[in-house]
Amino acid sequence: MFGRRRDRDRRPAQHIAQHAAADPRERERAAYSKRGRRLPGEQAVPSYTPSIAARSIDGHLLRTGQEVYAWYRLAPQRWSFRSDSQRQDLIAAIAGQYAELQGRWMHLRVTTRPYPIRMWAEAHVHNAVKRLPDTPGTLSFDDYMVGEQQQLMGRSMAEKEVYLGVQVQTRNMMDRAVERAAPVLRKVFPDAVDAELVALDSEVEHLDQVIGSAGLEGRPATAEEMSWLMHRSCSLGLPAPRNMPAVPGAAWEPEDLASFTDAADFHQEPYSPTVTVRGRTGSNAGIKRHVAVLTVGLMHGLQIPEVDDPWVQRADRLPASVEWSARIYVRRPEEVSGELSRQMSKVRSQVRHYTDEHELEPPQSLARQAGRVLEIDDEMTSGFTALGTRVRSWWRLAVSGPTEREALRLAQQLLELYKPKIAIEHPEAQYAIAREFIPGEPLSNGAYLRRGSVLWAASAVPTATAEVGDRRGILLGETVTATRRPVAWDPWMAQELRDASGLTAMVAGLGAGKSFLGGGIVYKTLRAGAHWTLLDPSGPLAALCELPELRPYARPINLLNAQPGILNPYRVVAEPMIEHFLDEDDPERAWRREKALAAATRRRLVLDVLTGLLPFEVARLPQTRIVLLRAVRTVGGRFDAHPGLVFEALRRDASEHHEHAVVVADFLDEMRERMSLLIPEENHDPYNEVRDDRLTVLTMAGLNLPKDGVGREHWTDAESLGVEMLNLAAWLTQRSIYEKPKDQRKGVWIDEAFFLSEVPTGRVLMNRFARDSRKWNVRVLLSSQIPADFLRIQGFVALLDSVFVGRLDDDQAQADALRLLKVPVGAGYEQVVASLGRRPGGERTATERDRAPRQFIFGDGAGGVERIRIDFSGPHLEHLRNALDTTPDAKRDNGKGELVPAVDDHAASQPPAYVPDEIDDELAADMELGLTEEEEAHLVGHGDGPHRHRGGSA
Amino acid sequence: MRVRTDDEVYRVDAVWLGPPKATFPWRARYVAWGVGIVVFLVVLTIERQMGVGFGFFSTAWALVATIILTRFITARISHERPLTAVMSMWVRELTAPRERTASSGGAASAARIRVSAQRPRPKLTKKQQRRARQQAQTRRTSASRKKEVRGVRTPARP
Repeated sequence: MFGRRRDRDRRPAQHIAQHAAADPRERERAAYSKRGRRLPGEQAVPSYTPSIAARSIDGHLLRTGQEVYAWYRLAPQRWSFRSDSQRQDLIAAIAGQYAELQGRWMHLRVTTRPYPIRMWAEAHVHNAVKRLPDTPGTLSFDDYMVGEQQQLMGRSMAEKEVYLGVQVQTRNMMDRAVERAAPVLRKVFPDAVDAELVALDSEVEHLDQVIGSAGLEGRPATAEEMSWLMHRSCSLGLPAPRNMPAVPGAAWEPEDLASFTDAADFHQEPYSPTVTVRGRTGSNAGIKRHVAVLTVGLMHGLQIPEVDDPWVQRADRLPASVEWSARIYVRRPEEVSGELSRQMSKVRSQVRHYTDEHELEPPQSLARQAGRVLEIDDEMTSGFTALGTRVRSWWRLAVSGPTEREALRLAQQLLELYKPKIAIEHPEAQYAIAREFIPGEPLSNGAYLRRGSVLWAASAVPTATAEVGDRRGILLGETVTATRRPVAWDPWMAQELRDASGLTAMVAGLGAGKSFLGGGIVYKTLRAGAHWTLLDPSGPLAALCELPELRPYARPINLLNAQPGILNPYRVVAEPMIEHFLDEDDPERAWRREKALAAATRRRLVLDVLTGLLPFEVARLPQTRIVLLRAVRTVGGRFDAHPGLVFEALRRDASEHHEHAVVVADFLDEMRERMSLLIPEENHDPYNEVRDDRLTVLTMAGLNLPKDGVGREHWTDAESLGVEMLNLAAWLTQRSIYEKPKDQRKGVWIDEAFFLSEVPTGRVLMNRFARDSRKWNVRVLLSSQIPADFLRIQGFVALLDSVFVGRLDDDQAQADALRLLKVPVGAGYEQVVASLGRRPGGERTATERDRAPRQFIFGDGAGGVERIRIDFSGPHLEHLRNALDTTPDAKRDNGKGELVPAVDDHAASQPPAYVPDEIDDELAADMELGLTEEEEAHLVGHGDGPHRHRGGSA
Repeated sequence: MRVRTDDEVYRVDAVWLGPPKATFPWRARYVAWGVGIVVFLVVLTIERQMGVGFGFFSTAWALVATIILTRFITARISHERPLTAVMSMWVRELTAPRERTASSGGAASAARIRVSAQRPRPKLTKKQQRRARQQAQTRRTSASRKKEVRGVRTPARP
């Protein structure tokens, strides 16, 4: 349809043959000498003129017969969860950029690049390395993938792409003549052919700079992007082509444009409401789509960003993709002021006509219009910013459907979406308006002209998106703000690609769906090949181990029933292995340093645990700390030590605090029976057996934990023991990551992670997690009900990668959660946190359980923050849902099997004996953990000890 | 921040109420007057073409037809859709490509292409024919004597 040969009509069918003997003289000669006849050469090739206005594409410059446009790809901008002032700044910045383009035409195009769910599935399967082997008779991986895709059938993670074409210059006769003569000129005078674009160089550079600055953040479109834009525009409304034609490295000549124009043809009946687009080549061959082209009509005043969304972004709410094409002309002030004065005189003469000539009351609208003229005039002349610059613009939208009915239904939905503030019109001449979407085409007609300031045009913010997550990870659910699109998240992408840490905080109140979300993440990533260790003090997550497909690879351990010594503080810190340091510059040295650090960590941990176990009053005394520190130092940081040795060392203390040391030892000895988990039995080390489980769930059902908000001094013995055991269990969980290969995807989830802020080693653990999560490819999930617990850990927010925030009812907690998300506090988002997953009012007395999917605010660490709905609703995941249902139900038949009795066996690394000769490393490690003797000296008050410190203490 | 378009300014309803002090009972925009005059002239022309003579009644009927037609046209135009835009849209409706239902061509057939197994060779003159025959003979005789492959020993002749 688009492509038309210039001489198609006059040429008879056998034109090639005719060309072969075009010259009469030649023909004469041919009569006697056929052999010497010249071949037709270049003249025989029929010339080709594309029927679209574009003639050539050079880099990001598109030339039509009349003009040169530079095309830019605009960067997506985050919109949700930003403060109003940030949004206003964005709009003002864009408006400023528009204002700089005075006297130019712009062509704004919004298109989509679909990412169908099947492509996600493909990427996900490729990404699922070393996945869980299928257990016969259970849900296999293939069935699971089928189920996942069926749940989101037909959805697409389409990505919005925004392009902006800016008119660079109009072309003159000379330019066109040179282009026409290019084939000959290229041989004779090659510089002349490129002269036109070379002359534009500085102009284009200026435009690159204007569009590239903050606001639009456009960069010159690449050849591949130009090709995509042309293709999507020339086959408007058709599904995205599965394979794009290869992109040439050089400029597109008119003949090359046929690859776009031939892909589809348009046709329509007179005054039909849609235009039909029929695919002709590639994956779209034979596919027909009906495209309804709409245009933006009258518009009320909008409160952007306070009340209304940017008005182009609003179309994203439609469940189908919407193509936009806007023609914007930025007017010069002098043109506008002339027009305004004309308009003013028109109003005045009308008023005079009514009042003076006919003695009638003039309509109110005339007075209003006169007022508005003055207002605009004022806006344009006041201030130094050019934000009063005026534009004329035409905004078109296109939706498509397989049938005319479907397309019109979508068009109707779009109309409803924009009601009542913006009128969307459905004009005639659908074909002509549909052609406007093609870059380079002229405006088809001037109807539905929208005039306004650049500020108004900028407030459309077409680049605002609602993107979160990635496109290869597990499916979590879908976004619920402006756009509905599936959310996938690969917990190991941050470490593998972005070099970010693997820390994730999960904060939500009671019953807000924390364990459901976490359990779902664990289940789905396990299927995709990850290894997980969970610490779940209360125990319901052990149900994951009962799932038939996970049972052979999973092991629940109740730490409270485990073998003595499993929580030995000397053993929960893994011994570094030299083979893990082979990629360092100096493996030996790095390994030694790491070993010293491990030893120091052990000593620190033992010190903290024992201090924590002592009664608060005793623990607070400076002597206690001195004697404990000394005893711990005597025992050293070997991995085969245990707290029992510290007790003995205390009794042997020969310093001036001997008596106190004995008292402390007595106190601790008294608790010895209850500390059995910390002290191994003779000749029996629970770390000797090696097992390779994909899922280990450590539970501590029955652990006594202090109530929230109770100060340290009021804890009972059992409670302080509980906290210390939890701390040690967290270290044990952390240890598991060092037993697996470095590159393997590992996960650690610590539920009830509030204790991290209660014990001094919590920060040490956090730092270790943050440091090693990237190196060891670990995703660390920390969940708590109170965000303040995390904020209390110094530097935690800086270490965080991603955050899930569920419903929180307390005002302070809401503000804290926003701080974790790095979202402005006090900008009204607290209500969003409060309303997450809340059932609509009026159902308070309902006796049915609220089974609505829970909502979270998800910050993916890569800049995306969105409100998402957790959706594990597919029928293939029913057993998972049942297993994760932690809500009590008296009527339910509690047929859950007993927890498997704990078998504790953690791999013991077998490193060479500890070498205590690395004084420097040891000291550095001590300093890192705050274990220097200086502390001791400082506590006693007289600094007689040898000061070995060189730098500052950590 | 309240943002709004400037469209209101350009929506001035310019009406002509009639000559001063003689207000018409209707209000019509200037555009309607313009369209009305053109339509009236067209209607009059059509009447002449149809052979209706100029008289009071024919003109009155023309006036009625003009009012109806003008109202019809002006109902379709507004500030949003000026007359020129509506006209151009009308033209574009007419010139848009239509679906081609009539087929052109048909199944590709090579039936009319003459096919022969050999291309015609140039005919030789008598002299050339004789020379060719002689060459063929000499070639035949020499072929039996010449070795085809060098370095291979032929069996000794008896």
